[in-house]
Amino acid sequence: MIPTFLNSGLLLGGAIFALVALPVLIHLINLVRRRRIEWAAMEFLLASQKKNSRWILLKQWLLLLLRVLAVAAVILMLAQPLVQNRVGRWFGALVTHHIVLVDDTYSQSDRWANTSGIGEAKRAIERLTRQMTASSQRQTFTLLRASETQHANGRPLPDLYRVPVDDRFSERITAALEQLEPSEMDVAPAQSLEALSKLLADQTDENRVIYLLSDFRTKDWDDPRPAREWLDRFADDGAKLHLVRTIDEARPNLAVSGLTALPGIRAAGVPLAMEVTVTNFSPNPARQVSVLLQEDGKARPALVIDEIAAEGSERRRFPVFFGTAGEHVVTAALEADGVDADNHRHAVIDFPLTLEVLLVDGDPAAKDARFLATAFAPGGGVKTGIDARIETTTYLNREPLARFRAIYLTNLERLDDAAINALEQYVRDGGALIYFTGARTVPSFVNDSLYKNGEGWFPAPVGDATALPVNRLDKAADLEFVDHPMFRVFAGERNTFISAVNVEKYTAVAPGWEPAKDGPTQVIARLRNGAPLVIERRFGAGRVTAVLTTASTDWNNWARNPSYVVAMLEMQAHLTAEAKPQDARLVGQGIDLNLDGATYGTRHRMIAPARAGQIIETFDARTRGDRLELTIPETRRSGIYEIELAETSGATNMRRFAVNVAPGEGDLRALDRQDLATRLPELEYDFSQAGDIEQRTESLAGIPLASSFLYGLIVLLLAEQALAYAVSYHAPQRGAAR
Amino acid sequence: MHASSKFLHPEAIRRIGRLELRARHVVEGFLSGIHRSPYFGRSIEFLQHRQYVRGDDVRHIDWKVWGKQDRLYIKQYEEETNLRCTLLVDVSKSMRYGQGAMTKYDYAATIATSLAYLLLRQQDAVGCVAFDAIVRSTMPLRSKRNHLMSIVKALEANDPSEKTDMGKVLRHAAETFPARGMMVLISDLLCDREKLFQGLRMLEQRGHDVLVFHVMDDDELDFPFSGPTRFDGLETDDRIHCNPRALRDGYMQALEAFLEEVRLGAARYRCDYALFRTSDPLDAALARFLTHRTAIHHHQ
Repeated sequence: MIPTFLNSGLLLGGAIFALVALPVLIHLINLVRRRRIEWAAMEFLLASQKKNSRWILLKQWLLLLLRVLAVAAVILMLAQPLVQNRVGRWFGALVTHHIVLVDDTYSQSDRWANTSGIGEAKRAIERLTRQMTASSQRQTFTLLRASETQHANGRPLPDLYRVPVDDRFSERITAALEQLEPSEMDVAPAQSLEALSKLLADQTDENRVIYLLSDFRTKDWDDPRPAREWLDRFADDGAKLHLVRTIDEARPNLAVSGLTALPGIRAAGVPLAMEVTVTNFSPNPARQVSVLLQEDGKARPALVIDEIAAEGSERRRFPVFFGTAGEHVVTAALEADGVDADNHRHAVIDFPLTLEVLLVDGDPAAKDARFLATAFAPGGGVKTGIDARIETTTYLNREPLARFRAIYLTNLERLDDAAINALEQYVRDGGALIYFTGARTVPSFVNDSLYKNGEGWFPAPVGDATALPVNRLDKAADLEFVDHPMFRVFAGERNTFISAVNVEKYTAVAPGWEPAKDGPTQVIARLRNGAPLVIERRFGAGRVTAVLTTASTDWNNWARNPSYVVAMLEMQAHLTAEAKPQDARLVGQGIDLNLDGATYGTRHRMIAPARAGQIIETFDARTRGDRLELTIPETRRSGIYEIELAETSGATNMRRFAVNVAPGEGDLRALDRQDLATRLPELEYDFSQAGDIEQRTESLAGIPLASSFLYGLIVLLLAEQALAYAVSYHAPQRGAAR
Repeated sequence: MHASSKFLHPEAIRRIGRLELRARHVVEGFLSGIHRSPYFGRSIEFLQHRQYVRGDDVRHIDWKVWGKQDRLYIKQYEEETNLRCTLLVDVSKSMRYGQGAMTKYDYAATIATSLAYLLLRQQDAVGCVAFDAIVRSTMPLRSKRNHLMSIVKALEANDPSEKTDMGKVLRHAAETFPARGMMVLISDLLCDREKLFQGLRMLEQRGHDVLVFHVMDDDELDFPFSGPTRFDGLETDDRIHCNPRALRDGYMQALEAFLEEVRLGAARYRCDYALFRTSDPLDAALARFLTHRTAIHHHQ
């Protein structure tokens, strides 16, 4: 065991001088202090000296030894020896473990001058590790990125873990730092600190220094409580905390914070409205912001937003059109700024060839169904993408209904139980059901078998057909719509077409019935007498809309009004809108697919975007009965993920998924040193800017030996004094023994 | 200790510079401190009258004789006559030691002159031998009062400078004062014990009544020293650098052995032995002398 010393020069010089010269000096001092007595009774002294000479000599040598040891203890204490071996364990920690947790969320990609947040983090790590390498203390090093703390298996994946700071250390650090780039993830500080805590749980007999390299954005640290809990734990366990700020100031940033398909019919050849949202993370307004748009990689005319207010957002709509069926990619992008990751946003929208809807008419003549079918295929070159199929009620019993995006029931008298159950399951599974009443409607059947006192899928109890009195003096329109997406197209200025709709007869709801507040049922259109006309109810994953008049012109003239086609198409679009926006999946989240075990095999391939190029990985689906569950546990980058599903027939079926960054991470407002101190009161930590980081010597292991030498010195001095007193090396006091 | 004893303390005595005055101070102080002279109140046999001379104690005048004969006569008792006392005073170098109020020499000389004063006052004969390695001076036995000064001068003239040769000295004393009498040896006895005992034996054999006043300094008896010290021998060339505490136990053992040896040796040769510290009041020596004197009288 060879201890190391921080002040080895002092040790060497001091030791030589002290051990050789000081005792001599002390001896000379004692000679000077010696007094002289002319003594008569020498014979007794001589006798005593003769008898005790050996023991006296021993005591004197022992005293000299104690003094030498005391001097040595002073020198060693000042030289701050650090011992790392099993003996040293008795005095303190053996090893200093430096743990660097790097915030590599995409806000760290913020660029300025010729550096960036992550660039400063790298430089800080290089500086630190150089200092570590220069020291001869026993140290280990761990490098962990925030993005690598969030894996689906719950285990963090450090770049370097407890690697010794030895000859190969520089090489390892260089290799690790080459891989250090900002991720596209948004990881809350508490999450990464919690993961770090799990990583360090297995070993406790070490001296830890935890460096948190971050840009300390306001959105993450304004409420520091979650992170503070973990920082306190680390501090309580004896770790020294060092917060390192990687940025110098907060900069403005623009981000594409949303890209969604608006409700509408999605079918090949049918234009679809989309909406892009751009957020200005800046204290100043942004002007003339260009939003570049692409459809399947092809550029289309850009949008220009005249002004986005400071810290505000602006939405703009634009149409997309895809002539072919299938999953299509829409991308919105901004011009490059400090942070690139949030300048792009992707959406994958499935455009089927057509949208299949089922029209079931209770009347064998299917008059109502034909009016609806005409609305869905108005002709004149207008493509709606809707493929309407007119069937009788028996169809409901014998054919699977899942393929239909919506089912319209018109003028039904009755349904058998099998049909009712099939429809119920269809709606529960997310289907859209629209029920038009008519002359054949039997209120008791509707109430008993479909409404079932609120337990069934029908939205309201009904009564008999009722005439709407004509009031020639009342100029109010027969139809009154509430603010609802289904009929929002009719909102705003007075719509003359709607006002021309006359309803002569309708199916009244049960007297006194009104939907429960905050319930699943909502009246979205009324007649001028206040009677509900269109009632919507959410049932399971789907929706049921009851229109309490005919789809045909039997009870109203709506079908002859131009607004009829618009209303029906809007209704269809609303009812069949995706429950989950196509672009809601964020970086870090996984992709789960539930596949038909009969159609697909177990092994499938994924092509994922990478920093450069693509990554191709293979995944095996798990069998669950007759279904297969395919799980892509996590996504690491934004972009389009393509999963090639292998069918048992040998064919492949490509599915696309859009993964985007979390928009809020682009908010670059940050806390400075003072702000952090205010939010982390009574927490002991060091704070540095990345460029100023220095390794503190107290963070090194082994310090206790200096304290041990101090205690030893005290003991030696006490022993020396006691022995010196015993051998009478103290000058006499006045009035006492001479 | 009675009230006058404080005036007999060495601290008080040493302020009196002249030896004869010291002696007078000591003796008068001693005598005034006791209610009755050992010569009074005791059953001492009347021996004879002698004519009164100036200076005699008026208490001893026999008034009956005066009344009858109109002449002044004093009574003489047995103890008043024929006491021959030789004071053997060690004036060697070792007697020079003393860190307290008086050195051993001062103490010994004061005792000697005090005894001489006391005896001459009683018209006893007192002689003195001052010695170290050799006899430095010898004062013959005289009973005249002015003999005190001679003794004082003899003692003061001898500044201690040599080591002690007790055997030679005691032999000289025995030969110089052949008639039986009292020999009072005042010394620190730091000498060859064999020669000392030989001398004492010789004196005892010659019929002398020997008192040994062993004078030692408090330091020598207590050895209270501490701290680095160099001891230089006063009568030898020995030199010891030591820490006194380290040697104290051994020193005290050797000292105890020495004192025991001297005590036993004195007893063996029927010498009255008394140990005096230089811090002891001077009347202790006088009291011891007179106690011995009384004991002898009764024995006789």
